[in-house]
Amino acid sequence: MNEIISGLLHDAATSYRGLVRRPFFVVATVVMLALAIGANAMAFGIVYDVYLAPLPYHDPGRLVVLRHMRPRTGLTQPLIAPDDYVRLAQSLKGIRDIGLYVQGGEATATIAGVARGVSYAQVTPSWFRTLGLLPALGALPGLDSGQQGGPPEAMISYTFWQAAFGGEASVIGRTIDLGTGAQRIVGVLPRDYAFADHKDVLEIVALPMARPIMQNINAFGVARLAPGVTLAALNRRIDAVKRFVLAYQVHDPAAGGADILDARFLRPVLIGGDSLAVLPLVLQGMALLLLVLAIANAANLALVRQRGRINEYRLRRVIGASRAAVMRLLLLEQVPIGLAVALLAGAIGFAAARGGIAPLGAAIGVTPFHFGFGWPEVLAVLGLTLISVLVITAIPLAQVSRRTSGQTIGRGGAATLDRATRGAQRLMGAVQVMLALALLIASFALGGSLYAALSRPLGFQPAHRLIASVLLPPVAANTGSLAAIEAGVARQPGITAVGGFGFAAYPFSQQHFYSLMSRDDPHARRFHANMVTPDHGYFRTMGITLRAGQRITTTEYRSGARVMIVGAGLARRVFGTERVIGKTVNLYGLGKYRIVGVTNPVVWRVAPWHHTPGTIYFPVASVQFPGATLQEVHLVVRYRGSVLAAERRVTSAVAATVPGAVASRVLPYRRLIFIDTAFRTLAAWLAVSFALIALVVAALGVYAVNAFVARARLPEFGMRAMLGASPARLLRLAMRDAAWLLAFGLGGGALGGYLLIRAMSPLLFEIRRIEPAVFILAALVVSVIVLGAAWRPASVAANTPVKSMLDAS
Amino acid sequence: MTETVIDVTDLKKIYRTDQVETHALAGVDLAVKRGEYVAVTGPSGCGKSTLMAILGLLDDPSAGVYRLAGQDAAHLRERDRAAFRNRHIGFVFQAFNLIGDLSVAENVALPLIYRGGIARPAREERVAAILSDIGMAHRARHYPAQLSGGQQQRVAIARALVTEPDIILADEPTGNLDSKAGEAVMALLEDLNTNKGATILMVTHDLHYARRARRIVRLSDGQVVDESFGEAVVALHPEDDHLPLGGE
Repeated sequence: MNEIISGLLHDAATSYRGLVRRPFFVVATVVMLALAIGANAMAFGIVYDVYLAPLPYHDPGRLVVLRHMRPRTGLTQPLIAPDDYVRLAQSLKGIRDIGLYVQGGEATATIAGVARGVSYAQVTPSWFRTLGLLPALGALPGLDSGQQGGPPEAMISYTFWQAAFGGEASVIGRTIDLGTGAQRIVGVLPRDYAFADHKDVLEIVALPMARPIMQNINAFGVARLAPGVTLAALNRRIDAVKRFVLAYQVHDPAAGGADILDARFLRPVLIGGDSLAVLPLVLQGMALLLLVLAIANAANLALVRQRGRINEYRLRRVIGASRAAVMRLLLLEQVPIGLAVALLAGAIGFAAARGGIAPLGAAIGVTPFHFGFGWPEVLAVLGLTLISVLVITAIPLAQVSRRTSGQTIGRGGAATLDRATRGAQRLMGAVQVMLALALLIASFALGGSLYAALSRPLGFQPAHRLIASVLLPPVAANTGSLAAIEAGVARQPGITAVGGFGFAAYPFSQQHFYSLMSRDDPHARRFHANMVTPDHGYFRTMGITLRAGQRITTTEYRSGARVMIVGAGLARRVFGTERVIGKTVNLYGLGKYRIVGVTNPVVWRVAPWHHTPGTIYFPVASVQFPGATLQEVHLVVRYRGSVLAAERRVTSAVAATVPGAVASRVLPYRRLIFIDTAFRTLAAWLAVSFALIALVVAALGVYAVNAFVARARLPEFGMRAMLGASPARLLRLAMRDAAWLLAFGLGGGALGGYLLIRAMSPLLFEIRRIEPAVFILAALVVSVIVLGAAWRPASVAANTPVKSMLDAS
Repeated sequence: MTETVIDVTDLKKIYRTDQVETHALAGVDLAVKRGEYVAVTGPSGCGKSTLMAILGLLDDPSAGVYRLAGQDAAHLRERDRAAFRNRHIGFVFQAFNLIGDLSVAENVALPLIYRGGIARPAREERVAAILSDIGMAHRARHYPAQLSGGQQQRVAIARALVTEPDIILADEPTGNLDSKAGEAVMALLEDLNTNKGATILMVTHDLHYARRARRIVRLSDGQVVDESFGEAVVALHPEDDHLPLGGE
């Protein structure tokens, strides 16, 4: 036993000395693998958190989201109308529970004498049971809660409980008034509860609500599959009751005929549908390609190093080492390399996840997912390190196991590199170039398409603009307060223009308020339109210009005249090539409006899969929804100078102008756009980072391969020089290897890049326009890098003194 | 008057490191005339290989005069040296130095390719002829690894001859061969010299093979210390195998 331990220690010491004496191999291998594995761990963190981490609901795999979509009118969100919910709850078999979640907003509430903004949503009492939630404190509302005449109740979030009530148990039974009457707090939600967005308060609502709200497709319907029922079976049952469910809109055959009613599992819907959901997988795929590249490179380096040590292994065998002993020595060498790789990769992954991904996830709101770096990522680092090290060791191990002791030292010193080794080196080199090009193409495509999307005209001016959300107290919930606040803000120094509007729908707000509209004809086809209810300062402050007609006058805004401005796309869809100005349209629930102007196209979101139905603008004063008050209004503010100063001035002006009013959110417009594009921007940056790492690794690999091949071919070069080959001729010969490698690499890489672009196509904008440039640019970059990396060793080899070349044999 | 192919005067080669200065060649004078067959011999470290490298334009002299085929060959740029080697010198090495990726015919054709200006049919004709001369025509499409050591050396000789150089420099041409193959190679070199008029300068430490040359130059400590005539000459002049320097 002592002998074995002593042998191991001796081998370990020998291995350590060998590694220290050849630092290039060790450092290059560790850095390449650590970068690639760190990138994989970070990408895996996103994949794990999005696809695999447990959701904060009981048995989330049985939860489905019900969708009522109208692709012809642009309604493609996974939402339903409360009317759909009522009818599905009545008729649909195969579900155990079903609950409804209606997007709310923000309101002011006075808690312990302090007015504060509170975010809220409205849910049916069944919501909590459907998700399988248990309260952190108190109880869940009864199923009769919120029924007409029943007790108005609410649940509050854990963080709100801590922040507003100091985590006191006495919160149960207290009331909170969000402007619609006092509600009794019956329970505190679990600490980790989240759905779609964080809300402080969940109001329990009774159905039916006001008619326009009931038919507004703007709510989440979640159901739990009954035991033994599959999603496919549920969708067949939904098909069976679809006619009954949609009967409430039989008056609208044009729209209703194209309706889709179905169910999808909850997780992919929360991720962002079929489009954004692919992004983590694309990133993981790119990271894996990077790892393959790094492994190929490290294996190549190992092959180089191995070749230089063949005589050492032969000598060891000749003096009595068994094959197993030599293999053990090789394996022992990998231990410190593996440890260094794991530590560095873990540090890189941790820093990227905690320092970049997690804060960004929190900033852009990826509820209910939380990005971070925990045990799953640590295990990923360890697993990938083990696999990488084993793969890299496999080649030397295979070579050592093949060698027999009959191959004595000093023999077989072939003057030229053998074909098999050269083939293996070229293949790995070509794979590296291929992967680097594919990654570069993908990153250019992601980055280029995002740039193309953001650099096209937005139809409005986001620079030096702020958006402010203002919560009005119930006594001041009217357009007069909006006008007073606008005037108050406009008087502030540095504020150059102010506009207001009634609903929280504006470009990049990620919200829509839809209304059905049609030409003034009872048989006309109906269209969904996205409503914006501005006042007289909106267009000027936003910088939205008209393509035809004129703006709504100040008098019309103030008097609530029934006039309207429509977006260019919607105007074309509704009226075709007809002249639009002066035409009258019907707005469902609001009456007839006369079109006075058509705006130039306005970009509502930077999302290639998102089709905005088209926007209509009409005076906020003309809107009179039954039961709806103007609790929340919005300002768009143009400012000069510091954004922070402008934010402060807007906030203080709001509070000073209307007592009880609170500026709940003030954001620069640029930041809104950032939030909307942040995930894809992050993905683009990550992809570019992966591609840059891949380029560095590939360049290192090409350099190493060419340095090795050139050195191994020195005797051959010597012979050629001896026979009359000039240095220039030898240089061409040496570069020919790189050229072949490049040719194969470019071919394969272009194919790989094409496949990656196809996989990412839901995320890409204007890809057809930029695709040729992406391929050409990426190929050029890779060519320059590869030829540049190959040049140095080739040049050194070609200009080596002939005698030295011949002596190299 | 017979033309001098190699004319070396006071040739020196000094290798310097930080602490040591080694005089590999310490003033060599040597002249080789067209049609001669000269063996350079001497103990290990005497400067044979260094002399061979300089004569083959594979290395620079530190000092001295070297004229090859009547032209100054001591101060050439590398590009010109390559052309000079191609035009004037054929090499035969101990390790054969064939290119493993090329067939026999391709190896032999290589100097013609580097020379340029020779059409492919003419090149192939020339290669076929030379392979036929050395009895390797049937192996033209084989690769070096498929040949025996003796056959590989014959191919190397064919490659050295294909450009019809002014001189063949052979560095231990039998060093990697068994005695039978070595004899065959030596016979080939003798035949080339005797019947084709090839000028040969051979470096060897083996006196047995050195004696097969017409003239033997012995080096020691980087200097020519002795010159004599080989068996071919001795056979003609059995009374004295030790003729004066430069004598013929």
